[in-house]
Parts: sequence; structure tokens; C-alpha cells
Amino acid sequence: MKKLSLVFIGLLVFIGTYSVNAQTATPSQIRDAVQKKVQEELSSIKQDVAKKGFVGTITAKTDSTLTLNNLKNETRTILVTGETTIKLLNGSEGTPTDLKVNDFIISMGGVDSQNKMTSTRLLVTKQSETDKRDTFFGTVTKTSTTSYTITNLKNETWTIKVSSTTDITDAKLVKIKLADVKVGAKIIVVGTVSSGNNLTSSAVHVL
Amino acid sequence: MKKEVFLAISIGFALGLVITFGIWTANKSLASIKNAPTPTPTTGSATAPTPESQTTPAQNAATLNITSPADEAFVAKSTLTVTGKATPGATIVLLFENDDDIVLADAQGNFSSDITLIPGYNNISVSSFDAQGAKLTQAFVVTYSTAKI
Repeated sequence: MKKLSLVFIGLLVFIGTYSVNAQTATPSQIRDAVQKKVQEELSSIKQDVAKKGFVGTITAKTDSTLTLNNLKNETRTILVTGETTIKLLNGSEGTPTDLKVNDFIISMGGVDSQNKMTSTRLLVTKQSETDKRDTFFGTVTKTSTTSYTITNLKNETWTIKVSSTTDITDAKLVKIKLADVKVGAKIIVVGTVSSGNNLTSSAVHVL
Repeated sequence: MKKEVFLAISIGFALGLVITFGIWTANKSLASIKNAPTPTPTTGSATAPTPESQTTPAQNAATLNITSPADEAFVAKSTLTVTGKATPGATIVLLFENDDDIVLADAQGNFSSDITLIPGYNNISVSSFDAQGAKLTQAFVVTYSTAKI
């Protein structure tokens, strides 16, 4: 009887062990779970330490926080700490007290998930002049040895001044000469408005 | 007495086997559900097109999306690769500090251009033109510095 009881208990232990093993995750499941967790952590870390450069004008200032109006008129918040290197307009090193409302600055540092920057390096600088270049599309209606006349989609007539420094390319971006552009060609022009409807071109591309 | 004890043990053993078999079967079924293939975006895309795939030449909807870099990015190298997606075959014009570049979008609309940055902040403008001259523009700022940030 004792032997029978022992066999029965042994069988129960075996079956119980098998049952537990059946519920245990396989190695591939464990690997997948670990990989997923690592990816989540990496994404979180990357987001935490994302480096950015905020550019704009200081609109408000407290002891350690600057409010910035960036070049797209969006508001940015910058935390200035004792670790922040501050360079003033004259090139000398400064302190947070040297920063004034209306200063134009470039602030570099890490941003958190709220896009709030802890500045590592902050430069007071001058705002560069507005880029007067633009891109234009039109159909060539007249050509000369120094210019094209085009009509744009608004039916406006523009004169495109072309010089020896103007890059002229065909539809495959191969360089061509001024005379290769014919009346009726559709072109894209990179240039600066000089006066009225006159453009000085730096590049002309034939579609 | 011995007979009764033996009978009770046998019944208990049989019951135990039935329960264990039930647990084993349940675990097997759960495992097969876990390993079953889940629906993938590929399957879904057949019926639910993405905004990008909705923009086809046939629909003539011009698009321009800069995939890299992000606006207000900070970089430590003077050469920057600008990548994006536009209308397939579109002409892409990049205006950056002191220079410009013209590239063409491929059949999928992908484009890429290597530009040179100046130290400090760089205003970069990307315009796309389709064959009819429809223009889309996106502008962003990238800060370049070799200082340790």
C-alpha cells in the first residue's frame, strides 16, 4: 500500500511539473519581450535627450527661464542653468543676468517631452537679413542674349535677367546654354526681385 | 478496507489526470492564439490607403513632406542631407544660406539633397514644382555648431 501511495504521489508531482512547464514562456517569447522593452526604453531615452537649436527673440525672462519667440512666431521655453555657457554679442562670456528681453539668441541643448529646452550653450547674436531669393515658375514668351521673358500662372509678365553665373539646366539637370531655352519652354527660376517685375536669376531649370 | 483505499486513490488519480489534461489543452490553445499571425499594415493598406498613397499622379494632388531633418534640429556636421517626399517627378528647389540646389523627385516621389551649412542657424527653404507649375514650400531652421552640446 505504501508503495502504491508513493507511485501515486510521484505521478502527481510529474504531472504537476509538466503542467507548470506548459505555461512557461518559450525562449523566443522572452527574447521578443526583452527586445520590445529595450526599444521602448531607447525611444524614451532618445526623446529625453533630443538636441535642438532654438532661434529667436527673448520675449520674457525670469531668474532661470527664458520665453522665446522663434522665427515661425512660435513660443519656446528655455531653462538657463549654472552649466549654460553664454556668449554675448561682443564675443565675451556672460551670465544669465546679461540676457535681456528683445535679445536675439541661438540656444542649443536637450529638450524634454514637452519641448522645453535645458540650454547648454546660448549665443546672443544678430538676426540675419531676410533672404530675398525666391523660386518662380513660368512659360517663356521671349528670349534675348541676356534675358528671358516669362508669363506665370497668374498671367503676369516677368523679365528674367540671365548672367554668365546663372546655372541653366534641362529636364535631366544637364547644363545647357541660354540659347538652348526656347519660346514655349516651361521654366523654374531661382532669383531675386530687382525691381518691378524684373528678376536676377541664379538658376534656371527647364521642365 | 484496503480495497476501498485503493479504489479511492484510483478515482483520485483518474480525476487528476482529467484535470491535468484539461489544463494542458487550454494552455495549448492559448499558445496557438498568441502565435497566430496578427494583421499587418500591408493587409490594411489594401483597403485603407495612407495619406501618401492617396497622392498619386492620377489625382494630381501636389504634396511636399520633409522627412529629415526636423525643424529646429541641431547638427554637429557642416554637411546635411535633406530628404523628403513630393509628387513623383516633381522638381525640388532648395534654398539655403548662400547657395541653392535643384533635384528631381523619383517615381515614388522621394528626393534627397546634400547641402552645406554655415555655423550658427541656417534658414532652409524647400519648394516643389509639379509639371503644371503648382508650387509647395516648406521652410525650417537647422542650427550647426561644433561646440559640445
